[in-house]
Amino acid sequence: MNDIATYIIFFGLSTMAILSAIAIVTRRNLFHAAMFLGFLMLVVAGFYFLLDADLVGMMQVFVYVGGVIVVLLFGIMLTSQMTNVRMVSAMKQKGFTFLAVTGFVALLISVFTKVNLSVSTATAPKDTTSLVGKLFMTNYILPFEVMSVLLLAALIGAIVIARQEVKQ
Amino acid sequence: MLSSAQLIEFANNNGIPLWALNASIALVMAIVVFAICGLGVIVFVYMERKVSADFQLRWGPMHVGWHGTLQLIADALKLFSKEDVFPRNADPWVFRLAPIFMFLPAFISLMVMPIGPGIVIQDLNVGLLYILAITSISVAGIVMAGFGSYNKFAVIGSLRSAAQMVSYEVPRALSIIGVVMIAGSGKLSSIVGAQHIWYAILQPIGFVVFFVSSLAETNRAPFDLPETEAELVNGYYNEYSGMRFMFFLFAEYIALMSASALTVVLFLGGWHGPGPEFLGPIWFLVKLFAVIYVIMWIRWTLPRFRIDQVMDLGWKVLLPLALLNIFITGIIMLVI
Repeated sequence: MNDIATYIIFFGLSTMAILSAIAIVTRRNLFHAAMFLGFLMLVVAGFYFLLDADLVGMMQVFVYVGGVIVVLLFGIMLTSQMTNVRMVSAMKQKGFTFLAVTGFVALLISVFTKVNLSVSTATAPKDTTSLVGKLFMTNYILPFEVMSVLLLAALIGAIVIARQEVKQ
Repeated sequence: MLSSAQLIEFANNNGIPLWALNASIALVMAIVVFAICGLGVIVFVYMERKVSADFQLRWGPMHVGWHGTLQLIADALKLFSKEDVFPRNADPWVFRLAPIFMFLPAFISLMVMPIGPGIVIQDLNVGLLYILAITSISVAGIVMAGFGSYNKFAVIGSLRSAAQMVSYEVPRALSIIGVVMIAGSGKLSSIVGAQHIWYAILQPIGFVVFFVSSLAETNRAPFDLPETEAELVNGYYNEYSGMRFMFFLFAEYIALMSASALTVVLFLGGWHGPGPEFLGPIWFLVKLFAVIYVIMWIRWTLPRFRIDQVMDLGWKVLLPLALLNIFITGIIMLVI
C-alpha cells in the first residue's frame, strides 16, 4: 500500500468517524443513535486494520459491534416502549451532561497540549496474534489471569441467575 | 492471492499503480464470490425442496423444467415482479438497511475460506477470529429488521433471535479453541494444512458443540425459533415482501453455506482427500454438500424446540461441554 492510498483511506475513515459521532449525539431516536454507535465502532476497527493491528481490529469488531452494540439494542428493545419505533430520548439531565462533557473536553485538551506525540518509524510486526499471546503468558501473566478469573465468575454468575429463575 | 508475484510484475511493466491493481482484484473477487453465492443459493434451495419432499414421500417441484430445475428461476421472477409493500409506520432507513446487514456478514465471511491448497481470496492471520467477529454482526441485521418493521411479531422474533445468537456465540467460539490449540494457528489455511487426521475425530466434543451451535447461529431448524411460522408468522421478516423478502432468503442460505464451509475447514479436513492435490476444491465441494445435506436432514426430521429449551441447551449443556473440551485437549497436549 503506498502513501497516497493510505492517506485517502485514513481521511475517509476519519470523516466517517466524526460524522457518525456527531450523528450519535444529534439523533433523538435512540435506536438510530445505537446504530450509528455501531457504525463508529466498525470505523475504529478500520483504523486498526490500517495500522496493521489485525488482532486488535478483530477484537474491536467482535467485542464492541458483536457484543456491546447488540446488548445495547437489546436493552432498548426490552424497555417498556419496545414496539415504539419513534422512541426519542427525553433529554433529561441536560445540565449534568454539559458539565461532564465540558470537563472531559478540557481534560482532553490539556492532555493533548502537554503530551508530545511521536511517530514510530519501525515497521509493524507481521504476526501480532502470537506476539500478543506470548506477552500474555510472560510479562502480563498476572493481569491476564485476574481478568480470566473475573470473566469466569461473571459467566458462572449468569448461569446461577438463569437457574434461579427456572426454580421459581 | 491479492499480491501474487506475477500480477505485481504485470502491473509494474504496464505502469499500473499497486493500489489500483489491489482495488481491481478486490472488485473482481467480490463479483466472483457474489456469482458463486447466487449459484449456490439456487442449488441449495432446489436441494432443500427435493430433500424435504424426499423425507415426506413427495415428489417436490416437478413441472417447470426437468424435475423442476427451473422452478427457482420462476419463483425469483415472481418475487422480482411483486409489489414492494412498505408498512406505513415502519422506520424507513432501518427497514431498508436490515436485509443488507443480514446479507453482508455471511457474504464477506466467505472471503477467507481456503477451498484448495493456496486457493483463497485473502488468507488472514486472524481468519478464524474474523469469521467469528463478522458473523456476530448479523445479529444487528435481525434486530434492525424486527425493530424497523413496527410489528409485534417481528419484535418478538428478533428479540428471540438476538438472545439465541448471542448465547450460542459463546459455546461456538469456545469449541473452536481446541482446534486452534492443536493446529497452533488461527489462519484457516494452516489449520487445514495441519489436519492430517480430521479434527472431527480428534475433537469429537468440540465438533458436536460447534455443529449444534452453528445450527443455532444460522437459525436453522430445530433452532428456527425467530421465524416460527405457527406462532410468530415468520418472525423478524414478517413485514417484508417481494425483493426484500428474497434478500432475506438469500442471506439465510449464504449464512448456511458459510457455516458449512467453516465446519468443513475446521473439522472435516478441508481440501484433503485421496488423489492428487488439484482435486482439493472438488473434495471441498463434496464435503460441503455432505454437511449441507446433514443440516437439511436435521431440519426435516426434528421438531422445533421451545425457547427456554434452546437457552438451557446453550448455557447448561453446550457451554460446559465446550469448556470441558478445552480442558481435556490441554491435558492431552501436555501429556503427549
